[in-house]
Amino acid sequence: MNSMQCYSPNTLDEYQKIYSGIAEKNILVFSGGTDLMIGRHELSQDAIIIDISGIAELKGVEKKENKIFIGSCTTLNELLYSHKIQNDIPILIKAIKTMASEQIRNRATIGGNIGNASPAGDTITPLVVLEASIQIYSPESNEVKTIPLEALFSGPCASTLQNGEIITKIIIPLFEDKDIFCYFRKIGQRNAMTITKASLSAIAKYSDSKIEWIKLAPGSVSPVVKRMSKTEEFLQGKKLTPAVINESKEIIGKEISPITDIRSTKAFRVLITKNLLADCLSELINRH
Amino acid sequence: MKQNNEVRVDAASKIAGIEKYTRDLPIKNALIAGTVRSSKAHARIESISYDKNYDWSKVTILSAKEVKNNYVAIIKNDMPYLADKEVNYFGEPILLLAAENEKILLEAKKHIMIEYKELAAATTLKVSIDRNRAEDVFEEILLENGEGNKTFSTAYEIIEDIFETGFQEHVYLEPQAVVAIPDGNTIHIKGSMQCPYYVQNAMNELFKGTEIKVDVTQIMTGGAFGGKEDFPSLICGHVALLARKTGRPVILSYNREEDIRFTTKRHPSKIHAKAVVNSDGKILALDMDILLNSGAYATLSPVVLARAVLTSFGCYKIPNVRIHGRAIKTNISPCGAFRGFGGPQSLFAIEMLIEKVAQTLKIPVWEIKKANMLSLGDTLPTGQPIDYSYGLPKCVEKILESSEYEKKYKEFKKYNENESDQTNILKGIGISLAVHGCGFTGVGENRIKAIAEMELLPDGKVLVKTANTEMGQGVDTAYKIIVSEKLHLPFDDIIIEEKNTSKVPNSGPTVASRSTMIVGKLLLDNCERILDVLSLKDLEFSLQDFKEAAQQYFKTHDTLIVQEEYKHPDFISFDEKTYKGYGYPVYSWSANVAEVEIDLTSYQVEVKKFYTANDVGKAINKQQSEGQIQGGIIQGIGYAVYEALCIKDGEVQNRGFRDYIIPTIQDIPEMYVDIVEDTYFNGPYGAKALGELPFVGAAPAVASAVSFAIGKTATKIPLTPEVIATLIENSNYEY
Repeated sequence: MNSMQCYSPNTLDEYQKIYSGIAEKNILVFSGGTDLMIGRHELSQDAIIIDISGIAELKGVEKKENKIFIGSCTTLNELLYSHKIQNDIPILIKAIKTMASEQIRNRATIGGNIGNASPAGDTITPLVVLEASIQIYSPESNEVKTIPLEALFSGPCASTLQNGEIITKIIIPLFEDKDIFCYFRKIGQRNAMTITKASLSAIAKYSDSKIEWIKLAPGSVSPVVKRMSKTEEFLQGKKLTPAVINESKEIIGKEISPITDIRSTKAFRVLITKNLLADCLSELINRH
Repeated sequence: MKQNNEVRVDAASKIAGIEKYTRDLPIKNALIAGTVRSSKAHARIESISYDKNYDWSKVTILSAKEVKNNYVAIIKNDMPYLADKEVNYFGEPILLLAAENEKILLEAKKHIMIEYKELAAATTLKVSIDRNRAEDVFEEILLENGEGNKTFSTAYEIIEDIFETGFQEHVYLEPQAVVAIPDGNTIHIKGSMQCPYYVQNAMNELFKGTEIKVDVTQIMTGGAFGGKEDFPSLICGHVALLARKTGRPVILSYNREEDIRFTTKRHPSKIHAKAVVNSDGKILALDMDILLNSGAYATLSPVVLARAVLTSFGCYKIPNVRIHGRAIKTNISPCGAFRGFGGPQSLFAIEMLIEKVAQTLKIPVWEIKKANMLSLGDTLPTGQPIDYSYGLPKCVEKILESSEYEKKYKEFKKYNENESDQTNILKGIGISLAVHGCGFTGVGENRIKAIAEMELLPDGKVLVKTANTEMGQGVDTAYKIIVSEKLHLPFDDIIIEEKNTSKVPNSGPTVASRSTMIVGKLLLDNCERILDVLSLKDLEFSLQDFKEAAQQYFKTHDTLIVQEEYKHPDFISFDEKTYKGYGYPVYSWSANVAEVEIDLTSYQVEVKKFYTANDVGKAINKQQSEGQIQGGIIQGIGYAVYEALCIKDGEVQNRGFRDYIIPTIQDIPEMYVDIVEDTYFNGPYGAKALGELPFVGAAPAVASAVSFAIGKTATKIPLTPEVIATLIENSNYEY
């Protein structure tokens, strides 16, 4: 009864062939499919779907020079248990620990989480503050290009990927300075298996009781994940007095643009984003 | 009776995954059914049209025009199987479709156009109350005792507030599923359900005046919690009608989304409660105005309201009361039965009212509760004396000890004063006393006249015939224990008859925590009868003796079938006009302590520990009783903290578990369960009700702990972070 067409290529080359072989380019490409599972009832019975999570060359983690390269089809648990990067990108590891459940993390991939382009995507905010870039492969031109991660998002759950383009790699520059503060906290509706109501990723350099620089990316409070440049600028060079913290809370509260949806209200999201920033800054003070 | 810790008889097949549920039934040649629903909360149906270019030959369509007795027989018979001229809620069934497969159904639905003329809709309780129409009141109850008004003038203080509870979805693991199989003039109905005889009764009404006969079989049911008490009558009618029309078996099974959006929920409540107290916190009078949001049709609302009224004074001795209850119609999906059945709503109100009294008088809440708690021999506002099976004082003793409540009460106060600023965490400890009236309200049991039957088989085994269904609560195992204990038979020699209305008598529905207490007692009485016939009564005997006696009996007889019919003891009477008398033949009691932490960054409430002691008369199966209690607590924590149904213009927005939030294993506290056994003279081995009790006390204990933490009375549940933020920050963060 079901005429849905499903493909699961094992190599990029196979993907390219499958893609080229489909005339009607109404194709859903995914990697892992843990989010798709939930919405499966809404899928058209005649949908064409391609799961790229089995492509071996898109798996694995590599550290080269001062960068980390993560294959887009690496699962969240592979990252969580990868000893290579535990100390290099603690903020990403922190975020992954809060995601879904053991079973789902075994299947969900980092590329899938990014490609889904949800403002609530929990790997996205850490990668944005880390100023990661991504490699994109086009089956039409058979070429690879590299773009800043932030340029991928065009709206809530909408990306600039087109014509079968897929994310192949995530590239994270590392800091030479090892004394970098990082913060990730997510507020959901319960302790596990929860979608973010609001979250905050931050990395900062703190010295002489002052913020040298700070990078902030909140989750689930704007159409696309983005940096809080006004708040960052305000905090730069400042001593974290209670007055400064309070003022920074007000600034971030105005810089975000959350909505009311089934998970929370706009007013509450503003409130807890401000709280998250205060929590982040007080952790920063306490650590130094 | 010895201490029983039996593994459930249905455990192995469920763990192995070989148990057969309704969807697993091998039904040949079946059609799949689907439902075309209203997309308006309240409207006149102007026209229904079918796309002329679509091939309708593969689809059977059934409309209200073809349903002669178009009402679901529950209490008021006001709900149609299919809406005819008017729809009263978003999602109300208008048409039924049947086809070979789901794909055809989905496609066919796209080719049906329904035009509506929208009518004024009351999609909230407030709108319905404000428009103040008599026809929106499904039921009204007034219970008065003493001299309510006079005490107000002599009072030290009148303390009042408005308390609200939310919807709750049952979240049974197995969504609704039923099938109808035509067989000549008979239609066999099978499905996931609690009450085969409720369905039987509804089908008898539906096919009244026709040649159609129906029998109903319950298939192993994957959870129900009340959600499969009244609702299956509607969908069994749907499949029966389609089966009659097509002459083929018809399967109707909801997916999770359809189930969450369009099946019954717990009634939300809004309760205005006032207490008249003297200066040491003694409650002189209680005035309560209870409103239940019933949804579009009455379903079981009148009896849900009755229990809400009779639970409203909680576990306290209050000389003067005026309890006014109303069940109100709104244009949303009808609410129905749910574990606790009105009790949780009014118990929340009375427990939180006392919290408010404590906070107003600046007296620790436990002091107030202790000062007002019932003592053995006291009388309820209904006039019913509490003079037997009153284990609450023992429950209280147990939890005060196990939780170290009084010590922690002081410690947590200090913590909140001195350490919260640094940790950003508020701690709370709360206490609740809970009561659950056992079995049907009033003399409902005398109306039902439950019959249970047992048959001695020639090989010395017995066949147990009741209509009480296994839905995960362990009733089959409980019955085997009850019978085994009396007849000395091993479990394998006790056969539970299929719950098929042509095979078992009507022992009443599997609701109201009555199966063990009422029907279990009938089984025990049946055992006595068998022993009497075998001349073993009052004798010591072995299994061998029993088997030999049975052998002897069958030398001269063909069958031995014994039957017992239930009737309350004569002194149990109830006046349904004044609500005076025995609201219930006996009560189960619980005392509960919850510890919570509130994170001041996220405003999340986390229940860290939960202590409970439950007086259930007698735990027939101890480990199963503990399981029931733990499950009730978790469901109660969901009710208190997590579970929020989001309704917009009458339409349920939640689609599944990603947006209807229930606690996971990461969210549930350490639980310490005590069982108290203050036996009931008329229950099997002293057992009384257990199933609903642990749920009822959980939410008030959590809300009491939250009130402690924030220093304000938590007046509504669920206490989502948005509600907590609103309470703490004095600004609105809610929807």
